[in-house]
Amino acid sequence: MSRGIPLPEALAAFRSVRSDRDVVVTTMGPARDWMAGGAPHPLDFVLVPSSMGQATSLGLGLALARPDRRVVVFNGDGSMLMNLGSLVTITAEAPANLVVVVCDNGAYEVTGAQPTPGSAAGRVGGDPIDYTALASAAGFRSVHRFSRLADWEEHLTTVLSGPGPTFVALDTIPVPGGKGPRSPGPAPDRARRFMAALAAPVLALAIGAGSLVAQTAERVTPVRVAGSVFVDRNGNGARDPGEPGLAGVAVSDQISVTRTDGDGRFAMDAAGYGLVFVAQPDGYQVRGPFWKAATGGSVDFPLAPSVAGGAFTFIHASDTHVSEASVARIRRLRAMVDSLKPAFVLISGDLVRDALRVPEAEARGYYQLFEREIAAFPVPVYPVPGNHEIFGIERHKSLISERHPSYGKRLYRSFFGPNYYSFTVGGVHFVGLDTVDYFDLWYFGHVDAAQLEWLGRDLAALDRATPVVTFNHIPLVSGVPAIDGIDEESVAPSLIRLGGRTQLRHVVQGNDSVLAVLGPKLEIALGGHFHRREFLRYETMAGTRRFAQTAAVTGPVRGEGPLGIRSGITLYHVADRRVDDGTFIPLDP
Amino acid sequence: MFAPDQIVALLRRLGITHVVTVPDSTLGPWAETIVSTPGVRLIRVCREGEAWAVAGGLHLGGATPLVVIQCTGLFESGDALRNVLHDWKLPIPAVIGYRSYLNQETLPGDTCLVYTEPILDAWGFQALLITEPDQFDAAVEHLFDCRAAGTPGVALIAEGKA
Repeated sequence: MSRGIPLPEALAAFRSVRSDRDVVVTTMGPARDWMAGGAPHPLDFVLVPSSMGQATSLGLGLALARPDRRVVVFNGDGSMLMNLGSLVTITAEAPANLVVVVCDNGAYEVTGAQPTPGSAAGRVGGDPIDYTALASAAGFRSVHRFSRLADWEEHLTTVLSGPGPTFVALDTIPVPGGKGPRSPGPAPDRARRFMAALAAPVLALAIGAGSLVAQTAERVTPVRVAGSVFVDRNGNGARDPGEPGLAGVAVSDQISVTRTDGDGRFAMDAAGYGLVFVAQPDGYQVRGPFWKAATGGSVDFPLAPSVAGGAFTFIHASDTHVSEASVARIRRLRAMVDSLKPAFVLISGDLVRDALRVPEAEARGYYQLFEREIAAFPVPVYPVPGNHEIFGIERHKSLISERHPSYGKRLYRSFFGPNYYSFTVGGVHFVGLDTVDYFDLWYFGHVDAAQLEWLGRDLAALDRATPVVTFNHIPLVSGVPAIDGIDEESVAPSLIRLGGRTQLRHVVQGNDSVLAVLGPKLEIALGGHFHRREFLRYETMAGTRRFAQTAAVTGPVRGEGPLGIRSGITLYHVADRRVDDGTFIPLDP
Repeated sequence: MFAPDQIVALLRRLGITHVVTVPDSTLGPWAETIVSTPGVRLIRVCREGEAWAVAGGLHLGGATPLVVIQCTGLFESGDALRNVLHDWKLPIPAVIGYRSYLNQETLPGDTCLVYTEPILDAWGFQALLITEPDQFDAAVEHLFDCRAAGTPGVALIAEGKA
């Protein structure tokens, strides 16, 4: 069999078509020539020092942990012979994203080019081992062999995009006297950098301010819904003769906003995410949920007169992170509500311990626990989702499919309805925003285009004097990243690549678009996420702009960091449509 | 020897996403519980040396693997675990079956009793030997503590037959 491809050229051909998202594992001779052939890439894993033979197994582990990435392993034939069983292990797990390339030069090159027992020169009968036959018998879905560089170059792209797992044997030219690969640096440091690079969110899509990204996939086919918003005088939930409808009330599918007619009736083609909601009007409280599933047919929203007037208080709480282990914290919040008697409570995300990285049963368990706990509150509770409510998107940890019916924001909506909505109390319009977007495995601070357009429609009917209070999880504006600095190695790194630019991940990107829509109506913007009370005041041409984050309910109990950050809530007083700066109240003595 | 809920508790406590294993007669029956535990994937490898490298790749990719093998497999997998645990400093936890510890009728004079613990020491494992099912919780906490300390931890499970 002719042996004809110089290894450096074979690797150079691959380098020319390598995707920026590809993980490349090299070992032995291929590692030496890979390092010599170009600048290192953050997703290169040069397995030097190695345990000879283990590159295919390590590549299998990477491919299983990161099914969203193509993992390409360049192995030597001597190394392959040391771990032939790994071919069987690979096909047993069948990772479609794994490509094994065996560079077959027939020799242990780095020890002096002695023949391997798989080469013609190393066998009594002179019959070389056919690695492609081994791979085919093991069950690789795509198997290729190339002996000429031109063929490898011509078919490379097709080979890489074929159904995996993929096996490629390259007949490469041995280099007698070729040295072994030299370690490019301390292995533990390289492992940490590699893990950080692999964990770092890198978004290939161009994502500008307000563009529509992840939630597009969660949209449903429009269905016709019709119904009424009415005063439910007898409290039976049904519109009986003599119960008046309310005119001009906003009803939305999270995309469009329609207003009820003079008899309180509405009709719309609900085209959003499978539900419709009423923007609770001033002076009324919705009996039961303020949202309904949009499955077609009649949808009514019964209302009861509300006692809240022009002067009232509300609590802004956040980051309850409910689990069985931490449930005492939200009960402490409830006790505070019992004591302070606010008109309502806002909870700005990270309601549950985690749904990003856990199996469905665990995520649902946390959701159900939160649902039970807020049902026991004596006043209305208005939540919005945080990053920890997004179900399953860290798929390398959750092992949840993107096709799971509750994937992403769907689980949140199934429990608590719209992930953004509005209501009015005491002449103040409250808007719950969803400021956590996601793409692939990663969440980031962002308000997508559909929500931004909805916000404009929601605000359009307000009179000029109606102030707006926003509440959301990832803050619109915050100084915390400047205080805490950049952390590239945490489970939630500070930076993200968006549309080719590196940006902060834990504040809303494109916030100027959101602020432009809110305009001078914005009374105060409330956020969470950072587990600390923060208050920012900007004096602007349009007047004072205030941005305030509240502390976390979940903790810390004893004070954390050099500032001694502590758990707590913020109590706001509202009088004559003006919201004060809020008062921090610790949850612990 | 161990109840399914003990095994599930181990997986949950450590947040295990993948169990990489070659079975033996004590640990093999765990497979049924592992495969029925949501969010945990069982990976059957052909020999134990593979297990460490597969686990290393999983760890590098952000998963949380557990290696489950017999002590004979520990002997087989020396170079692979050296590379993963000590060159790359990846703190992979393991459950290792200790063959013949409780009963040598099948293999009288089994040299596993001679070499298992010295070899664990030589490879730098922090090993906790348990001989009874009610000691399992301690083994779980031992693995948890080792991982928190960034050191390779082993729960060494005494076995009664080959």
